[in-house]
Amino acid sequence: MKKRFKLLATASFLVALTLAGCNATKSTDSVKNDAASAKPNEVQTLTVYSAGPDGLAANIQQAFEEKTGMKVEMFQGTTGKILSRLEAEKNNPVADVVVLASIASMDGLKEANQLQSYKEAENASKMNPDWSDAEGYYYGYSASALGIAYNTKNTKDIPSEWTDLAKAQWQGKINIPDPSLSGSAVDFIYGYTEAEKSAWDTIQAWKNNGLQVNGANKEALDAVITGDKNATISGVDYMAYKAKASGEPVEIVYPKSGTVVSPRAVGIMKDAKNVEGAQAYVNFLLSDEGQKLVTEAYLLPGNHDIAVKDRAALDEIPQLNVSWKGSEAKQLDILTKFNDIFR
Amino acid sequence: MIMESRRSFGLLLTIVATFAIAPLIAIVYYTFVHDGIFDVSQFSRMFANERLWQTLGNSLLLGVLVILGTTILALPMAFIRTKTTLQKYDWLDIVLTIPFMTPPYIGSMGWILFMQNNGFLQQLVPGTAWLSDAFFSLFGMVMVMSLHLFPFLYLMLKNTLLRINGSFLDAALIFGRSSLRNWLQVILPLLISSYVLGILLIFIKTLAEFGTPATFGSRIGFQVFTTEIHAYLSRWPVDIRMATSLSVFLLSVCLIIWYFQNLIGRKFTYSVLSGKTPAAREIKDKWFIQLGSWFYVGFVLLFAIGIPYFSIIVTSLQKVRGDGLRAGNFTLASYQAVFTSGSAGLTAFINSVVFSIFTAVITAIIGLFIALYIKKGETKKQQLLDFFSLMPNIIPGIVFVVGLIMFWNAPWLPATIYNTKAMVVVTYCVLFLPYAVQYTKSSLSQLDQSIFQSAAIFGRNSWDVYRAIIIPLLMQGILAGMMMTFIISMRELVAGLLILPPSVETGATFIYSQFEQGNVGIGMAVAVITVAMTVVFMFLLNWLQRWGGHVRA
Amino acid sequence: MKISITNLEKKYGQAQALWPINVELDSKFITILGQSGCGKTTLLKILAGLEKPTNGEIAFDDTIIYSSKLRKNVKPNKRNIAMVFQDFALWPHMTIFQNIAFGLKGMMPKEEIPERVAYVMRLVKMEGYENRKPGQLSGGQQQRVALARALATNPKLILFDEPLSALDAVLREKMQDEIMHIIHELDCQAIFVTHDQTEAMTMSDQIIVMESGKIAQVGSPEEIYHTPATPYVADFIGKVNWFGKGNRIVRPEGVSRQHYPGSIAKQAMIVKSTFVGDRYLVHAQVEGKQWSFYEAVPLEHGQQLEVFVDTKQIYQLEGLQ
Repeated sequence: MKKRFKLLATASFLVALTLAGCNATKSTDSVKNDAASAKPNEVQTLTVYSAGPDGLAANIQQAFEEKTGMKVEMFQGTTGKILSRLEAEKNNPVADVVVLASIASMDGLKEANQLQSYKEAENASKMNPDWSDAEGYYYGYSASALGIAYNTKNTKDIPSEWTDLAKAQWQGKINIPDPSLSGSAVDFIYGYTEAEKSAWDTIQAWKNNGLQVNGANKEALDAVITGDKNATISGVDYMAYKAKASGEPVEIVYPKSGTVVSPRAVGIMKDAKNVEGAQAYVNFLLSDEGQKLVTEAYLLPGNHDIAVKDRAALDEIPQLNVSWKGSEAKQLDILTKFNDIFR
Repeated sequence: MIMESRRSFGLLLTIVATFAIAPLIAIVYYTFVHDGIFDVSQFSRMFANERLWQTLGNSLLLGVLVILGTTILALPMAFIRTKTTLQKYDWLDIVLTIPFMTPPYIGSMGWILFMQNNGFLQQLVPGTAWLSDAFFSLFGMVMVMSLHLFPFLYLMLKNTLLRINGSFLDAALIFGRSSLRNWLQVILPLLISSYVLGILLIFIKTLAEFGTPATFGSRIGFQVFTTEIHAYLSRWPVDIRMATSLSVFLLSVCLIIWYFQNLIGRKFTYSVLSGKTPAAREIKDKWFIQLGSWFYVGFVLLFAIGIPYFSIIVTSLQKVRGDGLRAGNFTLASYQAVFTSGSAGLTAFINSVVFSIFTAVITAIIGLFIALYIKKGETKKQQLLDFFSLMPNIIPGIVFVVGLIMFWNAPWLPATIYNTKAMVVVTYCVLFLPYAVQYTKSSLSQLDQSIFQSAAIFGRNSWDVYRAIIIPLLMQGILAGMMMTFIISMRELVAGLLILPPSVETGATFIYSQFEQGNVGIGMAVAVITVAMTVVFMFLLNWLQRWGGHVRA
Repeated sequence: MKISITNLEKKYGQAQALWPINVELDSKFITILGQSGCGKTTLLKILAGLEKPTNGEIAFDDTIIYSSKLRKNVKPNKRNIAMVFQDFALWPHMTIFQNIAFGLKGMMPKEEIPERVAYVMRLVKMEGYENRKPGQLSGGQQQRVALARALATNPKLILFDEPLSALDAVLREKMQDEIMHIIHELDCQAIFVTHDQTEAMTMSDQIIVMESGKIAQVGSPEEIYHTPATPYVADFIGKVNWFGKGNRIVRPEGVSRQHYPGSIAKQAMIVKSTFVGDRYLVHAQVEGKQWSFYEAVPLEHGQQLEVFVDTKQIYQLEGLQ
């Protein structure tokens, strides 16, 4: 009997240790989460899922925390990753604010009734109306333009049109970010195929010319930087500007026939626990201070009045005629069609 | 006696079931039950998808080819390290395990950067562009994966060769008419059972591998189960039920393969192994054998370590990546950035260390009790627990990860650890428990049963018996298991990608995300730091085992 | 066949496993006797060709099979020898038939092999077990098969490496008889390594006693028993009573309580008597040394009495006066 007791004691010690291990690691955030469900008004933590550029998201987080004293839990990933995380967490939602690199996906969230409206956002009127929701469900606080990023050392004839890249001299030298990973690449293919009738033929011609589908945006651009490829189609311009600023042999051009400008949008989740904080975050992004941080990262600001830094301004970029309304369903078809060609 | 009661069985089974079995049930449930009704439509939807068969074909083909590749690398290496003068260089074993300890996605990136168009190879040796084309193919992928996995098979084969009863070989020398016949009819058949087990584990590790398919495979358009499951979970459009269906399918494939391995393995298992390593005999080789052996070892080391690490280190030191290999284009800036206090890379690295330490300690404790319960696996219950606890070894990690996500997000759970750091530790524990169990079991098997009997007689109470006798005797095995768990946890990628809570990154996910959207140089710097620490740990592990060996002798 | 060993030595790094050995062996059944670690197994393995000596020469009759000077080293399978191992070393994945036939392939026409296997299986009384695997046989049966495998190739010399140490006492004695019988029937020699002096005494024509890497004595069992070359051999083989100041010994049979002409009287104090079956072995203190002798009846502890040593049975160890 005594022995049994000892054994049980040993065993419970083991379990206690296991749990202690878990508790120790989970301490801070879970305690706060628990508190969150109990007293929603006193919450000081804000959970943001951001597909923002790495440095920018961190800078905004820092500036926001300094300004409001609120603690931000940031999950960073591609647009695809964030969407899948939201899906997996449907049963117990965590995020308060989402920032996506694709308006279409944001619009999809709105359609799926996952966002809440915040019409009263400060500076809402200054935002580019083409990029934002009229009912205030999301705001396009910044944008990148998609162009052809090319390696300046290995490229002799600078491409000026999308169709140029179907030419023999580009055989095996071009890539494109994977649209299932990169929200901006989906935007590009959607915009390009919507606006240009011969777009699918051109895409097929690229494929015949050895177009490689190359991971996320940065991976595709890195292949150009290291000289593996000569040009990236649908290269995200702010990344190219940033690489160029740090001395890499890369340059970006916007074809004259027009390109896609891919807005990045911020929205508040319907199930947000910290609505106040979420609104403050949106306000901060739309504020002049937030917009300046955006331009520091070589992005196009949502507020036209803020000057861009070392890059082409919005009106210098020839644009294709694209409407983002209800584009998500179409994007899905386009993605399937694209995958059928390339897989 | 110790750990034999029904209660301890119940308790251990509960722990293993909650953490390892429940996730598997969760994915099966999620796949077959829709809105509370049994429903196979999801499964038929999966089978209707052409890509499933292509994925299955790709995965199986890859598995078979990697078995071939690892065999080509490991078998000669095992012979060289047991039958030639090179047997005395034990440091080779540590060096040879470095490829296995290198996170596979980093190894692949190293190879890609080396072989790609205008990559390091072409910068060093102009006119080698044709090699790039040949390399970026299934062949290259198999090579990279084989170079990563071969140390595992090599160590298994080498240990078997060392432990094959010495007089079997002596008898062959005396009675055999030719050495070729001795090899074919005596030595190789005696190797079969451990080879079959080895290649099964290689096959499953190949199916489970995420890093290389995600980097190299996506480049050549070669999709396998892991990348597909990951894609359904994390790429737009998300399809979680498809991911769980694929996981169930992958799970079934692995269990079937494991079953057949058991059938084959049992047929070829003899008590051929003497527990002790026979005394090494002095070996004098002909010069060409020696030269050939060194050449082979050098060649393997060049490919498995030299080339990938060259790329990794160079990349971490480059100022402007577009400028390639050029004097003056080197800087320690990436390392400075990492070591700036509070930098994302350093934080991620420290997170990894903390998670890995927790994992190592928890698995060591649970593993110890499981090993003590299982002993030699004579009763049905012991065998059941043994099977359950080793299951994560024969089931790809991503299946468990998907299961854990489903399980801990179940709406009926009163509390969940999902989206906390505890989730990471639990996932790691489930994935790496087999290492702790195996290490402890093997050091337990070296103890004579009489030790437990005498402990039971002389020990005042069971706590004393643990504290004063069993734990000290098993300490070496436990520590070795902990080190191994730590090293493997440090490099785990796919679990981190799928389950990390917001604001938390591990070293592995940090490095991976640097390829996706950050600064590759900093990512590579973190990789170099991680691997350097791993190598230090491996030397510690080796030292620990030697030291333990001395104590025992 | 005459086995000539000249200046044979073996070093493991700095450790001297065998000091230079010179010996000629021509008896039919030779035993190498010694305690564990004395180098007996090393010597056997060198004879088999499984270990390479550091120096020296070995010849079977006029054929040199190893010579460090001539850089000659005949391979084990070309020495026309066979070996029976301590742990039997039957290959576990082959049947008994395959185990025995393994050495025969390429040596005789294929169709004769079954006949030869059947013949040796008969010799060791294991008919009918051909299709079993080693794991299905008992230790004694495995030993017989190991012997059959050794006999099959018709070797000139069979080497036995402590083959009976794994068997129990009854089985061991039976196998001793059978091995002796078979070797004497056939045209071959045996070298038998053992640490059991009784085994060595009963089986061999010639014994090599080894002590820490050196040969202590070579001779017939009788020579070794009655005229041991060194104190070590004297102590190691049988019981011995040390006598007087020099290295004089007398075996227990040379001591008794009966006085007869030519015997020397000694005062003895009885320590104890042990029953050994047919008589008692009496331990006594004589001149401060431990003695033993045989007696028909037990003697009481503490008893003081006179014992008599047969002077003819006193042996003076050479060179150690």
